[in-house]
Amino acid sequence: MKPARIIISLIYGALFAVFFSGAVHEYNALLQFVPKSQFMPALLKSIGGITIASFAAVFITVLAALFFGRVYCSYVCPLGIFQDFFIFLRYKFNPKNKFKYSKGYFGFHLVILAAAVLTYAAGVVSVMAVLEPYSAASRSAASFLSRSAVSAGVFWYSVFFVLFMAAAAFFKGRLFCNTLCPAGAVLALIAKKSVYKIKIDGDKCTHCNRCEAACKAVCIDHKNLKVDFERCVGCFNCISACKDDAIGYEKVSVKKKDNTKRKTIKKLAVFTAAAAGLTLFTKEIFAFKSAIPVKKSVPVLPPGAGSVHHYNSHCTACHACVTACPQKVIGANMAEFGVLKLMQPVMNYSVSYCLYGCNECTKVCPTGALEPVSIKEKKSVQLGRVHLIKENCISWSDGKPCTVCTEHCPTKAVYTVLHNNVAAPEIIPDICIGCGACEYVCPAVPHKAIFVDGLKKQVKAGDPVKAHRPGEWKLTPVKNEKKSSGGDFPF
Amino acid sequence: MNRREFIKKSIQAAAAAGAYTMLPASKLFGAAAEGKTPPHLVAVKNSTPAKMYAAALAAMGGISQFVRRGQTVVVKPNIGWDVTPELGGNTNPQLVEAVVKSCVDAGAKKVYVFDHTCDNWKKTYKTSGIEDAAKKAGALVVSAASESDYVNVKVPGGKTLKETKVHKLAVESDVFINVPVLKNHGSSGLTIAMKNLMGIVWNRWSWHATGLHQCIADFAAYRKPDLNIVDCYRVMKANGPRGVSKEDVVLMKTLIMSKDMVAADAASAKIAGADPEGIEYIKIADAKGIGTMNLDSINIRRITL
Repeated sequence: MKPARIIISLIYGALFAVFFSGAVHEYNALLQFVPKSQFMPALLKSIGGITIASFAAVFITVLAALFFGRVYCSYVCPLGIFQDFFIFLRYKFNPKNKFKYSKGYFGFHLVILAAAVLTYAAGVVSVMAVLEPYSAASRSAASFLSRSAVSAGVFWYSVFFVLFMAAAAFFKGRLFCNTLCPAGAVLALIAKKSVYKIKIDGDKCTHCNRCEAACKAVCIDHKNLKVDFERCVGCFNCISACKDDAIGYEKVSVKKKDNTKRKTIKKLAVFTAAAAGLTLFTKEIFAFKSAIPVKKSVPVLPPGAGSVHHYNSHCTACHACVTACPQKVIGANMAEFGVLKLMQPVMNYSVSYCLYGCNECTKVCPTGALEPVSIKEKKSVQLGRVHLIKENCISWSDGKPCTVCTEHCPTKAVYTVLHNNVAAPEIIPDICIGCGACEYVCPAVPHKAIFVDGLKKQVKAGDPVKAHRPGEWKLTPVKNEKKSSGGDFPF
Repeated sequence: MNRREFIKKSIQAAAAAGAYTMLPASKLFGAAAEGKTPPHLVAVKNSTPAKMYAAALAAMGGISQFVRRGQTVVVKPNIGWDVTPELGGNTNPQLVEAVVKSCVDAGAKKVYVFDHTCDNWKKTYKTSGIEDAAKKAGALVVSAASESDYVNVKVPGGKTLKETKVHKLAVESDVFINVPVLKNHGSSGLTIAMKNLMGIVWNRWSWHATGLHQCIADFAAYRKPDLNIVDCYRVMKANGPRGVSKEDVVLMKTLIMSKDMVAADAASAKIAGADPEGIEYIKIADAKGIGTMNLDSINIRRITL
């Protein structure tokens, strides 16, 4: 069991690192599998609207937990592999200081889960963003591995988080998984009633303590032959540690199983329904109060975000989009949306701009915060609207023909007019898609002359082909046209 | 080494011919040897980009006029934008392929293709079709997206632009072939041969802030390309340089070739239906003596296929 687990999790870890290194420009199905196979993002996505991928990820994880317990935590969770590495170091460097059974804090763990669920339902994802293991791991990986537009705040937070997790794993094993992780809490509730469980055979057990010492979840009490299976992360180290064949993976007795399984499913259904209901209910109320920031401007969100409200209530700041972006325009500050929306990625037009024919970010989002958008659709999604400050513009105020903004505009929402016989930019916000190219290339200093302000709701931009551009600069038509070659050439 | 050999051979040849001056190699061989002066400008119409290129090249006396065995060549198309060939935003890939192939056939040691793109270079190289086409013909398609590949150069006689950073391959190569696309341009009016040279420059955005037309004309004196081949196959008549849709593009099936950038730009402007007098940088370059915009004064070879 152990080599298989290590091989699977290492392969998974390698794919994870490749994905978040940002080295690959277009993700294939194998790499897209990395974020989309994650339990919590898929569960959150399913609440908003089930897709095949999210349903499959949730279904397989729950089914596995119903039968075998929290194997997800040892095989799939990137933070699991990460912790295991430091636990391995502990075994290596401090072999005498063995893990000991401790009682666990299941009640506290449920409180954490409730807090994450309630805040999420209220449209605040930051508790989930900080504790949800996939997002925390991927965000850290993105901060260290990819050359993405991550702010110093997010970077140093990631440094802190990784050091904290390493230390916690080294000294306390899988404590995070069993007291703080919301995904772990959900799986623990299911594992409590799973079909197969780790059991100690009292007749064979010689109380050698090897299983307890090997258990990084500290859930085996060899004295009382007790295993708290809801805390077991399914690593099966205890089974290989036992020299007496006294510990094993057994089917729980049939009669008991029927009863409890039904109860579990019932409970789960009630729990899910309650969470979903609460989400819908509170979202409506909070939309009024919290979704409208009292700012002059709204951050520009990546394509597929739909609205600030939708985005805020789905994005767990995993930074899959940040690493997927070939333009490195999607970046994250510590608290651009306020402290309740920690580290959520937004479009950073001082770093780059959104490429017209690109939809990579919308392909990778595992929580549904960014919905899939085809390239054709994306070309007319309005992420924001352009604003021109003529006082800041070198063409309008300084009489120099710059208009580099008009060159980059893919819809010619920014176009050239003549002002005192000098080429100058003019704008049609209706057909602007908010890509930010004009803002990025504007050479005006220290303040840009042209910029894109975000929208609370992304809408469809007007048709650039049909648009009328008043006063557009037209070239002087050719005069003295000479048809010296049978009319083939104008010279 | 190769350049030295080339110069040696040129001197020997020149000596043998009895003219002890450093004549440009092209005047010693090919068309000149046959006693026919190659035209100042060739205009070809009504065929595929590759066939029009072949016809223009033949009229100029063949590729050997420009590329010799063992030389390094830079072929500089316009690969500015992440758009497909149908939108006319970049040089036609078939033309780039034909140009590279002719250089390879002439025995060029290395043929480099690059552009300092506006959009993401990897995407732009791919979407434009130029990367695949140039590689197929045997070119080395390289990045121009890193500042470390650029070297500082002085611009002789520059009024506004006195020095700038140029891609080192464009500085070092034996032969420089400029392959622009003719299209509408929101800042300069039209982008053709002289404007295309902004793609070998690193800090070109400062040109916008200091006076675009003057900078374009100034830079044209830095190093005149050995040959300019203007792609007027699909011509973007509006919404340039990026273009909005296919409606901006007119199929004109034309190609202009000249060693004189100013003449090439003036002729191409007329192809686009615009008066060269209305394009400021063409006028400045003409006044600076970079070339001539007076098409009546030059020997033009017009070919309709």
